[in-house]
Amino acid sequence: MDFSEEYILNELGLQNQPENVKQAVVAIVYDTFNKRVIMALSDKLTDEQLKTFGGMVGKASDDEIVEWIDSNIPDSKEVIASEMKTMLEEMKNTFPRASKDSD
Amino acid sequence: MSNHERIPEEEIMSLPEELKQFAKIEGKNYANGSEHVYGTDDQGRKVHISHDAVLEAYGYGPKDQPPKPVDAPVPVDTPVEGPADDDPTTPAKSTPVDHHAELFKEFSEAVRDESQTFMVTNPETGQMEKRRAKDLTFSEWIKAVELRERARWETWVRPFAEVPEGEIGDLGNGDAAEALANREHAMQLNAREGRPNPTEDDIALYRRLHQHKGEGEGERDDHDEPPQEKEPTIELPPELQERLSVTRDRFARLSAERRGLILGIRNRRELAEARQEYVDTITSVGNYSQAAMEAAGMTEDEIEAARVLGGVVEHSLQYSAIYEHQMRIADGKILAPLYRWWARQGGKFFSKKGIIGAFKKAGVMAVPGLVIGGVAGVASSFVLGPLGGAVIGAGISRAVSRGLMGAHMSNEADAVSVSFEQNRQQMEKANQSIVNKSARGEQITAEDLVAGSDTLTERGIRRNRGRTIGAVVIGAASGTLGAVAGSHIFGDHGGGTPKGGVPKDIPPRNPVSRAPYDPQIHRLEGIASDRPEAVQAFGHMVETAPKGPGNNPFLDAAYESASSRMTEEHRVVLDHVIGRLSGVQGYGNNWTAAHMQRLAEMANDGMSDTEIIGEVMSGKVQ
Repeated sequence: MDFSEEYILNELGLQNQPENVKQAVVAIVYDTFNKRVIMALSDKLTDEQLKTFGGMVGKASDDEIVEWIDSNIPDSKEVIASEMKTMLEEMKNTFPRASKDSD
Repeated sequence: MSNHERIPEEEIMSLPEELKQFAKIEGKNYANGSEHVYGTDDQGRKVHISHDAVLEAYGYGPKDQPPKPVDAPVPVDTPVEGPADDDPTTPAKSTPVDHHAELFKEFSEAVRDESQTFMVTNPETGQMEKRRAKDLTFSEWIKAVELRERARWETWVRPFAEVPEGEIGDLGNGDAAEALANREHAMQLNAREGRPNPTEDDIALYRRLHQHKGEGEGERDDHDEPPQEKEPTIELPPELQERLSVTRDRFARLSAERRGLILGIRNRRELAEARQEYVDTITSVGNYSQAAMEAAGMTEDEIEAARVLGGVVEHSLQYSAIYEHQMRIADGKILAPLYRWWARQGGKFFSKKGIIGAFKKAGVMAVPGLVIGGVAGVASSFVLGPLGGAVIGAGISRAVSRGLMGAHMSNEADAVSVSFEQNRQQMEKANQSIVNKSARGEQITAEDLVAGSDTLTERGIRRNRGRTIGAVVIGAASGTLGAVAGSHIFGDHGGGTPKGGVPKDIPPRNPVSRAPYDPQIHRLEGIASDRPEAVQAFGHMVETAPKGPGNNPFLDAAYESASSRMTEEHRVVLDHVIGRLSGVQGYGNNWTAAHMQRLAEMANDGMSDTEIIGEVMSGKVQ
């Protein structure tokens, strides 16, 4: 999986925009991606699991938390990848594109 | 497909029955390029006749008739008889038939000119499509031209706060705004949409245009100077802006509720309706924008980039709204820890998962909301409205290259005109200053954080300072979190990712030349590490409430009491904790002096800010 800035900009077709626009786009994309991932992972957990997770933050090490996520959300990697892919598609298609069929 | 089917030419040599009620029929061409037909009866009453009515009167039947061949339109070059016109004072010489012939001639030329394309709505999908004239019926072409003309007209009119010459619908009440709004063009549009003319929106628009005419920066009253070419400004109609905002928020709220993390609400039908309303609105916005951008002369590539950029911003706004509603429903208790942990991971989680290239900049991960503040937030405050992303995207790509990044915030929003480029440069300068100071191990002051805003125009500055400072602070957080975080958030204070975002080439810290202790700086760092969205509000507080978040006298007293017995190192930890908690729940919500004392004790015990937050979140601090 490659979620680099270059990948994101190429996927959106914005690789030729000015540098400040590209930076803004990347930051917006990452911000939105964060929120989507949080919500997607949350959807995979019960309220009880979420409370357990909340209790771990600040007490358990990062490695322990990652291990906990792996055991409670075995497909987390796929979930994350799917969120990125879906998000970029949705961003590209939010506003309808003018048909080029007749061009 | 065909809206009007042609009849044999010999049958259109005289006035059809439908038009014989008029004593005189005349066509009129206006300076803005629009053409209209009027009939005057024997009482001298003049009424407008729509193109469709004229066409139908001459036998071009309505929509249900069989489609014409693609190349059917034939220019009517043969002179035809018009109505008798013995009045030598009548200025217009054109007749409906002339007008009709001209239209067909224009259509025929458009058909032959394959470079011309027109935006039309596909009735099956409801989406705008780009078509060549040869693929359009005559009626479709007329509508496409009118849409283009409308967009061009509005695009042309708005920046100048003026209307092109033409018929002024003076209602005799002395109200210039109403007179302007009652223009024939607007009347035609309103009639088509089944609305009264002028609408309240029309009047409000023109009233605003007149109020703000000539008030922009750099505008001059010297009318002897030839007018300068202006960048076209594309603005969504206010009602469309409002509808987009309302439908987005409704969809976001229902979507958050449906997720049912807390409430278990799953009203699918209501959600489906909300989604459809939102999608329909987006489609309307897209259609309007595309036509307007084309009319403004933007290239196909620019429009495509603007479309995608608009999608990025709108999608971001949508998910931000869903997330905020979900946080509100859950009171931040469930998602907040997950979010904090996630946002602090930087590339660590991804590297463990074998995801390459992602989030090389830990600072980017840790400053969600930055660009919403730095670009979309500031930008969407412009006159451009919620479509900001799309139009601004185009504006950015066009204007940056020319060094013309001037943009005006809406006067209606009590904002002040600022130069976005100037603001951005100040933010970058402020960022660099903070990076340099942090690298030298110097203390970062509040002045550093607000430095970028000082040269802004004084006009209305108080009203906007919070916003501007917020942008600068957020900008500072963006550019420097790696450095600042390296010394406070991710590193020395034991919280978060040890390596996250720390520039490799930072020289060893030099504790010399430290500024007086300022708790606001450390609280800001705490806020920025956990919930950068709140940084903007904090920036406002720095300006308006020197004592910082809350300005709660009881907690301020508790803080002073507790911190007076703390070492500076421990105070930094306490301030980080305050900042981090402030980002989630505001400073002092449901806090007591005992809470403050407990937090101070934990800091004095050597606990890191992350460990203290963990204690708070686990409910151990009661």
